[in-house]
Amino acid sequence: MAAQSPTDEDLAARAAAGSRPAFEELVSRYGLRLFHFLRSRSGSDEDVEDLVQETFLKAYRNIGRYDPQRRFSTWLYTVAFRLSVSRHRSQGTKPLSLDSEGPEHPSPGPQEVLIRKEEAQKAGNIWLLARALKPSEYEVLWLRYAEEMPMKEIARAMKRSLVGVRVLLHRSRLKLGKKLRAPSPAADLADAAAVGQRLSIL
Amino acid sequence: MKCSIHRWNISRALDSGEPLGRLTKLHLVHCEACREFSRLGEEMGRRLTDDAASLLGDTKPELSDRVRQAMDALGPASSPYVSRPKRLRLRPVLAATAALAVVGVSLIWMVSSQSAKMPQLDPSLKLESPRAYLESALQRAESPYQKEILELKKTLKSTADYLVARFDIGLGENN
Repeated sequence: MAAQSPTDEDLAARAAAGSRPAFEELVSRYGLRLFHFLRSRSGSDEDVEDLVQETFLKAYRNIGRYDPQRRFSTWLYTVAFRLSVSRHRSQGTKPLSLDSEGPEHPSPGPQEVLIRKEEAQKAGNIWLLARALKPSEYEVLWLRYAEEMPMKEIARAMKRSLVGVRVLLHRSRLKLGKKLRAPSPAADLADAAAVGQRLSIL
Repeated sequence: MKCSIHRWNISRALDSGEPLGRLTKLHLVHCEACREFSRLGEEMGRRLTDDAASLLGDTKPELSDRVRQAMDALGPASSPYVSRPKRLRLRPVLAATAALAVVGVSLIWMVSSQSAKMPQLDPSLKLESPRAYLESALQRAESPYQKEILELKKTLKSTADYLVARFDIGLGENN
């Protein structure tokens, strides 16, 4: 009979008792998850990695404050969310969006934006498209669907009311639905080019 | 407007897992757009969950290594969680209550100490009998009036003397 792997809460309790390997296991479990969660507010992958690192360091420093009665994931996401928001505010960075880029990042031309949108749709991963939403909309979708977190926990992590989370989710789904139904801009471009060709032939 | 309310209900049902209300169900029978919204909402949820799983299927070992290296520089973690005693914070209401209590207690103490200092009657001054005491007390109580009456009598007498001298009224002598 295979030994059951310890829960996140067990690992966090062990880490709080001074076990570094336990915390490292948590880093392995949550590293990539936090990376995707924090993507919406940061420009480049490197910035996101910095933020993930900062989140883990803060969690490591304050693991003594973690209450093992609560879900570890909620606690960690709360730390990540607050760090991300405060950094976003202090730096005044604009989130990376497929529609527009902040002034810190080299602005792609309209052609490049179209290609990236097309790539996102071709890749078939809905999260690439979701990155075009506002950061809070992306984050609430991530917590709800990727983490499958209960609504109350989402509200706690994002420091919002339960109704606020419901409204945010509703709005995010509406927006994402519109983006999913919208015709591919690259296809439009191709159609326009074809029409142009036909016109030139005529 | 009507559709937006029903869409909100659909959205709520998606999040809570509870069944749709009767009115919304009835609306869905007639409204193709809202049926599409409901279908898309469910499908989107499935896609979001599945695609997140595929995103998380990738590995990023360099990220974990990076965090470990940063932890090396940081040193040991903080001490385990212990429920710390809450710091006493002096709030205005508490402070006012405490001040009132202090004032109340000191007032009570002052009153009780005053009553303790009240002069006691000397037992040697005990009166012989209550009747004698009452009589003397009555005399003492009447004495100011007595004085007044005497003063008035004197004044009347002198006034009468003056009138007799002034008008030379013979009181029976001339008659």
